[in-house]
Amino acid sequence: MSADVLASLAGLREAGPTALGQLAAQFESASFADGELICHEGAPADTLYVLAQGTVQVRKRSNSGREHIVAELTAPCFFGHVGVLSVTDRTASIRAQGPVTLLQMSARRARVIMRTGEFEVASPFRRALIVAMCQQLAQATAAVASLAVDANVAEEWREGDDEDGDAEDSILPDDAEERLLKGLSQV
Amino acid sequence: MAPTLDPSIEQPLRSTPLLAGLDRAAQDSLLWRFRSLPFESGDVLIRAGDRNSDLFLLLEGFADVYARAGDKRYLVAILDPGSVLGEVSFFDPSRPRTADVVASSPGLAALLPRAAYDELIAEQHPAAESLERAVLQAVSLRMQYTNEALAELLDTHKSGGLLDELMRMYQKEESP
Repeated sequence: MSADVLASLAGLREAGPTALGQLAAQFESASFADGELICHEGAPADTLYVLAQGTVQVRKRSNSGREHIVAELTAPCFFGHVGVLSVTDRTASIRAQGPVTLLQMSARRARVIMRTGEFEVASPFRRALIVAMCQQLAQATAAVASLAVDANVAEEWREGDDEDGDAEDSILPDDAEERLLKGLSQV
Repeated sequence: MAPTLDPSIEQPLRSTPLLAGLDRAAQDSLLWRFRSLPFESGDVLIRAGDRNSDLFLLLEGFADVYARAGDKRYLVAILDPGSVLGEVSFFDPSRPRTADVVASSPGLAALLPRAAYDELIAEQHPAAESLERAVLQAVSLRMQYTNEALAELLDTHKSGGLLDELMRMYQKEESP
């Protein structure tokens, strides 16, 4: 079952059966009930997850301490990848929305595969993690745009508007926007 | 005949964060696969919905990233030299472009076709790994930043002060 789930993930679809089998052998399965906390913001990010069945909420606390749902993820997808890149803490909490089945692997083991694994295994693995993060970035960006429309700070736009090269009217000082938004490419 | 590197992009490319961490041999293996793309202010570098999977490295100049929502759009990023753009469709060619990227000044970009990356994979070339790891780190940072920004915006949205919050966040960054 693990290899089938992994084969359905973008980035891993092109991986050969041997590579998928090797990766699948590193995961173990786990189940969570509706509402159960899978991982907690601020806790050590020591596990990488693949959502095999179901839906989870990504919840994050703002500086005021209020917790918000910033994304909903549906199977199949990776989550919890922050700990694979470095030894760090969770940047968000994940809660099951309905019954959930997961595959999980220690972040340390995932780091070893990424850094020293055979190319046929490590390269698709890295690619799949990139794709997973890009998909979640795209979702977050769409949410930001939607909030901006609700708050009446989005601009009207029509095809061809950019070709005249005019400077955009800004709701904030140029430098303010730059400092707030720098680094948010997800295209 | 093997393609040659456009000399106008060689030095800027070598100093981008994406390539700066690679050893000289890995850099050389990547460099000739890039094409130069000069642009003017107002040029649309990437259009949401398009099916194209090239990766761009911004070498000179600036570009704005807009997310669309219906017939409106919102500025979600301002890119400066060294920024990577187009990574979503580059690594998952089945996905169309997810945002508009519009040049806000004259500049220069380097473009890496997806086919070049496919060649690196086929060769099991170390440059493929370097590229993947560099993009992984960059995207991970953006992911964290985006979720933090989203949580703050949602916080304020509920109390109706989105614009005030944007200003407050800016002023906080300015504080010692």
